[in-house]
Parts: sequence; structure tokens; C-alpha cells
Amino acid sequence: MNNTYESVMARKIEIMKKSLLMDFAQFEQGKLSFDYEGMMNQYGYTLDEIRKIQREAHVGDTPLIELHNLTRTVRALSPKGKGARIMIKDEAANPSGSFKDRRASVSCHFAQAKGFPGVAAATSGNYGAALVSQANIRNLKTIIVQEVFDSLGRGQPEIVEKTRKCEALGAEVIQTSVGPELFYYLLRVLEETGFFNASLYTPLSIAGIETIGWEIAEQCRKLHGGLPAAVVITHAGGGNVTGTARGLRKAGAEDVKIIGASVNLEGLHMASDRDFNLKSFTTGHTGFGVPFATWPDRSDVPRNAARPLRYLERYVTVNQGEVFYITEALAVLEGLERGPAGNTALTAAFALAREFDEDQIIVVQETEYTGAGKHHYAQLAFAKENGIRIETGDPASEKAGKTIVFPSHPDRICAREVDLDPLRASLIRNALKNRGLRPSDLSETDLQFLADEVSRGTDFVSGVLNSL
Amino acid sequence: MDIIRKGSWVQIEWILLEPGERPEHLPPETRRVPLRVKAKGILQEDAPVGEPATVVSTCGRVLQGTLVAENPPFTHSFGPQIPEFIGLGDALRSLWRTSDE
Repeated sequence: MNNTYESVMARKIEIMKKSLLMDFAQFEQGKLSFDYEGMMNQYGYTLDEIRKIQREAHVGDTPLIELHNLTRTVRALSPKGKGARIMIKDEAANPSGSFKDRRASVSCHFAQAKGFPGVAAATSGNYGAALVSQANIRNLKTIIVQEVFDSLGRGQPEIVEKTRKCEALGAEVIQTSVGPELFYYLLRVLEETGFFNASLYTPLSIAGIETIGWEIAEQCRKLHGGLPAAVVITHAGGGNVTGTARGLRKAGAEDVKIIGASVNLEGLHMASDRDFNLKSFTTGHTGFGVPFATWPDRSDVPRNAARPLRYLERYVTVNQGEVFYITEALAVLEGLERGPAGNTALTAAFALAREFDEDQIIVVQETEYTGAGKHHYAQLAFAKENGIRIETGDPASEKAGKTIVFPSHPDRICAREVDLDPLRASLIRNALKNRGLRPSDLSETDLQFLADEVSRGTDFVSGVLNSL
Repeated sequence: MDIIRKGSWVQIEWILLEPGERPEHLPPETRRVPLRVKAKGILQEDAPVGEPATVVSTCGRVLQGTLVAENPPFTHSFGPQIPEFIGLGDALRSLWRTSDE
């Protein structure tokens, strides 16, 4: 077998078919379109079945905690009558400590039912531990491929912790230096082992997240007398936004505003060996959030089930220093010590709650576990070692990779609005560019598909196409 | 030189892609260096650190590389407390304790 980079990548479609039992070609339509809902329903699990699978595997039904003291703090900074009630879905209560258990649960159920000997994924985040944890319940073996260290051999402490946790749960962990080619190695692993490809971006993975949206709607109705005004979602690869929004819709909560939030890492390149250890957040940041929004099919499957621009109504960014500050505030005001990356959306909600009325609810839809390496103290110590200056002042002045700025006062915490229209236009341009198409090549099906992709009308799509 | 015994739990390392084999779209500082891989497994023959070795991984795969160490420990930590955050709870409470009254 020829295992050069080019040869393995050329076999990708064939490897996907065998490792996912899914032929993506069947959904292709028009020149660049595909039947998104058809693909999402292909594996045939209903939301009720997924809830049952997750209950069997101790996943979900996590508490929705009202953050009274953070809400009081917001109100002290807000005009009279403003300052929504902030609630947080404590996803750290899942078996491996994050919402990623939901994504892993359905893949592992499917892999077991179809007789796969194991599951594999390329992931440097919480998903690795989630997959091993769920695979253990299903008596499957696990291989996790992680991007861990730079060319000097220095590991990002948060990812080193992910290695430890995966190994503690019994996985085989393959650690790589910086580069997106961990996906190339994953393909080799899938070919060699015949394991199930438990990608983060399959319909199974996204369907597993829909239960969060559903639970939020149900818990708010039962415990708080009505739906939240908004759900704030930490946005990286797009699965969290897509799954949560779909779950809310399935619960009849179409009017709940979907707000994505990412840590602003502008200026740092995600595939850079130099920048790798200059960032204090390894996920939930714009380095994933923007490229995955504007070109979802960059993922490790031919068609990504996570398509955030179909669902995002607002997208905001916060800075690293602000998230660390709110992570500390969550601990000292609410008694909840949780991981910083999961608090990205909480930081945005802290700022956004000031816009909403006191009787409205804003739900932050996840927390994650914390521990050595991924605790905010560990990340700040590592940042200092790498020459990042830690300052207190105006967080807007933070420069990712150079400074981390704690707010000198909580009223300086800000959710900075990202205009979604340029991202939507970028998605449309990328859809054409990646297939070498011109606007005149597109059919009506393609125009409608692009309109759905960006959650706007075909007139918006035509406007972008006319400007090309 | 330390000889590690057959049957020990060890870490090995190998080069997966040399710089010239890496995709062209990578930033230059990444493409200039090889893509390295580390993995752990059971050592199949006695071998010194720094020399070629074969291991069998957790999932039963046979992997070959350079022997790095016997069962290296995890050394990542929590780091020290952050002086800037000392007293943050009191500072934040003082905002609403005053404004409520």
C-alpha cells in the first residue's frame, strides 16, 4: 500500500465510505449543492432515540444552573430594568466532563451496532476523552490522534492534559507535532484497523448535540415558566451552534436567538509552528470559528454536518483576558470551577445580558471540566513562559500572541459584534472557488442551496454573485 | 547508555512526513520542519534510548520509531495563583452590595 501523503489523501473518499458506512455522493445535487436534511436523516435516529442512547450511557440531562451572583453583577453595571438572568448548562457533569460526550455517544452506539471493532478520531480537544469514555461503555477500542507539541517538543498544556485523560481512560494516543496532517495519519489508522471514523462532523455527531437544545427548551419551560430570549454558544468548528440550534427548533423554540461566541485570536495562524504555543485557548476561538463558518467542508468528512451560518443570528468575539477573568469570577462568585475554553460563551453572555430586560433569560449552553494544564492558572503560567505580557486595563487593547489583558473593571468586558454578512459572502465565494465554478454555471437548486447555507434569501446570494 | 528491557511500557518517536513531503499550503515555519509523531507501547526487544525500537500499541498495532523513554510521566500542572485575581470575589460583590442597598 502506498502511504505517501498524496496517495492516502487520494483514497479519502473510499476510506470514508468504509469507515462511516456512508456514501456522501448520494446527496450531491446541482453543481455545488447537496441534500443537507437528507444527509442529516440518513442514519435514521430520532431525537427520542438519541435521548434514550444518551441516558443508557449516562450522558445529558445536565443541570441548568441560574448564576444569581453573576446576574447581580451584570445588573449593577446595567441601566435600570436591564440585566437578563444568566443560566448555564453544566455540561461538565457529563461522564468525561464536557458536552462532547453527546457527540461521541451516538457514534459509539452506531459503531457497536454495526460491529466495528473500535473507533478513531483526530481531535486535540475534549472530544478525545468523550470518545474513549463512550467507547468503553460500548466495549470498543479507541485510537485518538492529537496535535500536541511544536518542533521544539513543547506541548500545549491543555492538549497534554487531553492526552493524559485519553490514556487514563485506556485509549491509544498518537501525538503529532504542529500541522493539519493528523487527519492524514487518521486515514492511515482507519485503513489499517477497520475502526469506525468517529469524526466530529458527521450527522451522528451533530444529532448527539441536538439534545442540548431540546433540554434547554424543556428545562426553561418547566423550571422558569418560558423560553430563554437567547442561547449563547461557544463557536469553533460549528457543531455546537448547529446541533444546539437544531435541537431548539425540534423543541419548538424557533424564536430563541442563536448567538455564537469565539475567543478572538486574530493574527495567530492555526497551522503555524511558531504561533502554536502563543495562544492560551486551543478551541472556541476565531481561528476555527471563522474558517469553519465560511467553508464547512474543510472538515475531515466530504460534507460537514456542522453548518453554522445556517443557524447563527449573531456572532460575537471576546478576548482571552476577559474569558480568564470571567472563569475566575464563576469560581469565586458561583462556586463553580470550570475550564476556561467552555466559558467563552459565558463571557459573551456577561456582556450581552446588559442589553436584555431583567425578566428575560440568557442561557449559556456549556461548561467543561478543568484540571492540570487546562486550568486558567496553568494557561496563564504557560503564556508568561512564552513571553506573553499579562496586563490589567482595557481588554480591547489585547493583542493575541503578545498580550493578555484582564479588564480593570467588569464593565470593560465586551462582546464585539462580528458582521455576519461578509462571512456569508465569503461562504458563497468559497463554494464556487472550491469547485472552480462561475456564477453563470449555477442552477436554481444551487442558488436556493446557497441561500439556505447562509440563512438569507436568494436575492442576497445573487447580490454576492453579481459582485464577483 | 540506558538499556530499556523488553516488555517495558515505552514512548517512541518517528518522522511521519519530511519537510518536502508536507502539503504546500502550510505556513513556511511549519513546512520547514518535519511532522513528528510520538506513541507508546510495549517494547518488543531490549533497546537503548535513542536507538530504533519496535512496540505494540494499546490497540495491538506494531509501531516502529526511535526509543524516547520508559513510561515518561505527565508533568503539566495547575501553575501558581494569579495575584491580579486575589480579592476579585469581594470586588465584584461590592458592586451590587452597594447598589442593592
